[in-house]
Amino acid sequence: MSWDYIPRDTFVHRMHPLTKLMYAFTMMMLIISFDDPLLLFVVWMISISLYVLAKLPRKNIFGVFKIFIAMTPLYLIFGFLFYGRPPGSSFLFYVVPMYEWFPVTLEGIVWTMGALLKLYVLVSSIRILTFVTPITSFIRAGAKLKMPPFVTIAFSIGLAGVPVATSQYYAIRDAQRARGLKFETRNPKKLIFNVLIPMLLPQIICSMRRSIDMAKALEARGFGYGMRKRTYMREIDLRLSDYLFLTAFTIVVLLSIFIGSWGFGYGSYKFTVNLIKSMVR
Amino acid sequence: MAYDIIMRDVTFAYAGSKKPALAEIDLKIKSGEKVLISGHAGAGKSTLCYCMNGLVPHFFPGELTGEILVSDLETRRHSISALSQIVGLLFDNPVSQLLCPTVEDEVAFGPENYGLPPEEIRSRVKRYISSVRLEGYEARNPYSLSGGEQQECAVAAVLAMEPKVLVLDEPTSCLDPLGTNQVLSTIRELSSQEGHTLIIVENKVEDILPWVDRFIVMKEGKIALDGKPSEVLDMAETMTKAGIRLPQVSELFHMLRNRGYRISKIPISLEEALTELESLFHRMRLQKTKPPGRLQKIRHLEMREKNVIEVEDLWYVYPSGTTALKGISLTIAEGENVAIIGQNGSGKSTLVKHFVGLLRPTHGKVLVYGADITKSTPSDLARYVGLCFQNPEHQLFAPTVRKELEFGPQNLGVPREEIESRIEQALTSVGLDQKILSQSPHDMSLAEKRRIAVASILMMKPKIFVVDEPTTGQDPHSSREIMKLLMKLNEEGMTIIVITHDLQLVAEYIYRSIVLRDGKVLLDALTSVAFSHSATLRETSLQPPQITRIGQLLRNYGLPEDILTVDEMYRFMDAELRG
Repeated sequence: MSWDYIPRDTFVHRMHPLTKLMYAFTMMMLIISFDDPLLLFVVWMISISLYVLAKLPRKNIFGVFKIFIAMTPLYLIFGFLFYGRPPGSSFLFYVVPMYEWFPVTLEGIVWTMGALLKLYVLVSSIRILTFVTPITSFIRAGAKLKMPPFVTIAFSIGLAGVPVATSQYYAIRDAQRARGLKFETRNPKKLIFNVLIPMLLPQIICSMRRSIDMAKALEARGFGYGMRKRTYMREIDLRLSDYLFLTAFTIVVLLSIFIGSWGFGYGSYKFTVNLIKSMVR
Repeated sequence: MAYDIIMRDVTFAYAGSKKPALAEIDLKIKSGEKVLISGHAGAGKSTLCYCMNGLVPHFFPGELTGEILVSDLETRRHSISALSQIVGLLFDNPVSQLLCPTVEDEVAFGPENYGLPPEEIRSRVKRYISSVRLEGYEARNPYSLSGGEQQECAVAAVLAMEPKVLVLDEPTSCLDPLGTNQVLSTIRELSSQEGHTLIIVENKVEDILPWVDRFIVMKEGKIALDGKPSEVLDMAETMTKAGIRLPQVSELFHMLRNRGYRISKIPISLEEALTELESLFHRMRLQKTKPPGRLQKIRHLEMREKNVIEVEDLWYVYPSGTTALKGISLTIAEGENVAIIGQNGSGKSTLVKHFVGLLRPTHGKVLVYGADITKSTPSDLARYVGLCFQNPEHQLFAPTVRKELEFGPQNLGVPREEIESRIEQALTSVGLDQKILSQSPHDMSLAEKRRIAVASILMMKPKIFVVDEPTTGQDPHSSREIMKLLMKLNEEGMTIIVITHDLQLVAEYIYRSIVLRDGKVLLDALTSVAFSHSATLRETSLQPPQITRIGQLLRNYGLPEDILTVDEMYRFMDAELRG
C-alpha cells in the first residue's frame, strides 16, 4: 500500500490526524465487537460515504473496490469451509453433492458475509487515511503528542524510503535474473542458497550502505543539535469539530465494547439469521 | 584577509587503515571564494570535504593530526551539527541524502533541527524552494522527482540552513546531462547571488572551470596543484597524471603549443577557445570563406551480414500506466558497437531489458538471434545476451570472487570443468589477477567491483554484451579503462551495446549512436553523423563534445562538423595550417 495523499479542501481532509486515527480505531472496535452483516453493512456504507465526502477521484474509489473484488471469492470459499455444519444449523446444500463435501448452511452464509464485511470496513477505513492525510501530518501529530523527535524522524525516514527500497529490490532482482537466476524451485536447499541469498545479501549490503549515507546526511543537516528545542514548520492543533468527533467516537467505542461484551443479542450474526428465518416462515 | 577554512598540516587516516587518506594538507579558503577540487578516485577529495564540517573525525573516526579551523572554530572541539550551521555539505547521491516524505519537509528539516521559529522556517522554505525552481513541488515525495530535481531539492535543503560555506561533493556524478546542467546552473546562480564561499568537488571540470576563482588538483591524498584555473591548466602533464580529464579545448591548445604554434593562453571555455582559434587562423592567414571540410578519416558503415537484435514497433507500458517505449524499431548487427543515449526516463534501460527478456513487449516484437523473446526465459536469453547493470552492488553477493564468477554459469547448467576454464579467461579479459579469487568482492573498490561484475557476465559467454551506465561514479581514468575493455571485447567479435550519458566517451569509442527521447528513436546513425545534428540533440538537452562544437562553430574556416576527438581536430588543423 502506498501513501498516496490526494490534496482536497474538505472537512474530512481538515480533520486532525488524531481524530482520523480515532475514527479508524472506532471502526476496528466495531468490527471486533459485532459480526452481524446488516449492521456491518451500515458501518461499511458510512466508511464509503467518507470517500465521497472527501471528494476523492473515482479511480481511487474504484482502486479500493478492486481490493474488495479480489478478496471476495477466496474469502467466501474459506468462510463456508471454516463454518462447516454445526449442530442445529440450517443446512442448504453441498458444494460437491456427489461426495457430500463442503456443506453450506444459512448460518455459514450470514457469518461469512459478516466476516467479509468486517474486512471491507477494515480496508476502507484504513485506506482512506492515506488518501486524506499527508504522512507529515501524522509525524507532526506525533510531535504534538510529545513523542521524541528521533521516533517521529525515524518513522518519517522509514516511510520516505519505501520507494527507494522498492526500486532497489527490483534492480537486484533484474540483475540476478540477467545472470540466469530462476526463482521457481521446490528444492528448499536451492531456494535458500540459489535464490534467497543472491536476492537478500545485495539488499542488506545496499541498505546498510544507504543507512550510513543517510546517517551522514542527518548529521550534516544538524540533526541532534538540540533535540529538546527542535521546532516544527507547522504545528497542528485540535479544533472544536475535532473535539466533537473525538467525543462521539469515544462514545461509540465504549458502546461497542459494552454491547459486544454483554451481547443482549444485538450485533450478532444470529440476529440476521433469525430475521431471515422469520421472513421465510 | 578573512578565511572561512584553514587547514594546517592536516593528515588523516581512517580507523583501521594504515595509509592516510589525506597527507600534509595546507589549505586556506577565503570568504566568498569559489574553488573547484578534482582528482582521481581515492585522491582524498571527499575526505577533505568531510574534514570541513566535522564528519572527520566525529562521524568517521581515525587518526587526525594538524589543525582545521572553520570560521575560527576548531573542528575537533565542535559537533558536526554545530559546524553544519557554517558549512553546508551536499553529497553526490541525491537519493542517499533525502530524508523526508515531502519536498517542503526536506527543506524545513535543517532549520527545524536548529529550533528556528516556525515563521522563519516557513519563510526559508518558500525562499529556497523558489531559488531552486521547485515551486509547485512542495507536497511531492522527493523520490518521485527526476535526478536533477532531487539534487536541487537537496541543494535547497542545505541552503535553508543558511551556511556561510557550501561544500558540494560531486553534486552531478549521479545525474544525466539535463540534471547536470540544471544543478550546475542553479549552483552558479545562487553562489553569485548569495556570495557563499563555494567548494565544489567534481571531475567533470569543463562546465565549472570558467566561473571558479581557484582550481585544486589532488593526488594520493595530497594537493598536487593549486592556483587560478588558467595557471593550473598550464600544467597539463601533472593534471593527466592525477587522473583529471582536461577540458577538450585546453587539451587541443596544449597539443598545438607543443607543435610550435604561438599560443598566448590555454583557454578554459569554448568561447575563449573560439576567440583564440580565430586569432590563430587570422595570423596563419586561413581564409574564412573556405567551404566546410570533410574529415579525411574514412568512417563508413560496414555492411554486416547478420542482425542479432531486431526490434519492431516496440511499445512498453509499465503497470503504473507509464508508456516508456513508443514504437521503437531498430536492428543491431553482429559485432557492432552501439551507444544508446538520452536523458533519464527516455526509455534506454527499458529497451535493453527487453533484449534479455526481463520485460515483455506490450506491443511489437523483439527478436534475439531470430528468436522471439516472448518464447524464452531470461535464463535462456542469458546465454546470448549479457546485461551488466549500473550498480555492481546490486548483483554481488558471494563470499568470494570465485563464487561470484561461478554463479551465472552454474545457473545456466555449465559443467564444472568448463566453469573452471572460463574463470581465468574472464579475469584476464577484465584485467584482474587470479590472486583475488579467494577475496571478498565486497571489500574491493568500486572500479574493481565493476570489473568483477563485468567478468561475472563474461563467464556466461554471451555473444551480445549490454552495459548500463558503466562509467557512472567513476573517475575519468577508470571510465576510459572500462571503455577500453569493452572495445577489446568488441574486437574479439562481441556485439557491444552501451548505455551512457558521457558523450565524450561515446565520441571517442563508439561507432554508432542511438539517441532516444521520450520512448522514441530521435537519431540512429554513425556517432560522427549523429553528433553533427546538434540542433536535434539539443531537443533532448544533449550537447556534442566541445571539440565537435568547435568544428561546427568554425565551419566557415573549413573545419569539419563531424570531428569527434581532440586528436582528430589537432591533426586536421595542423594539416590545414601547414598548408
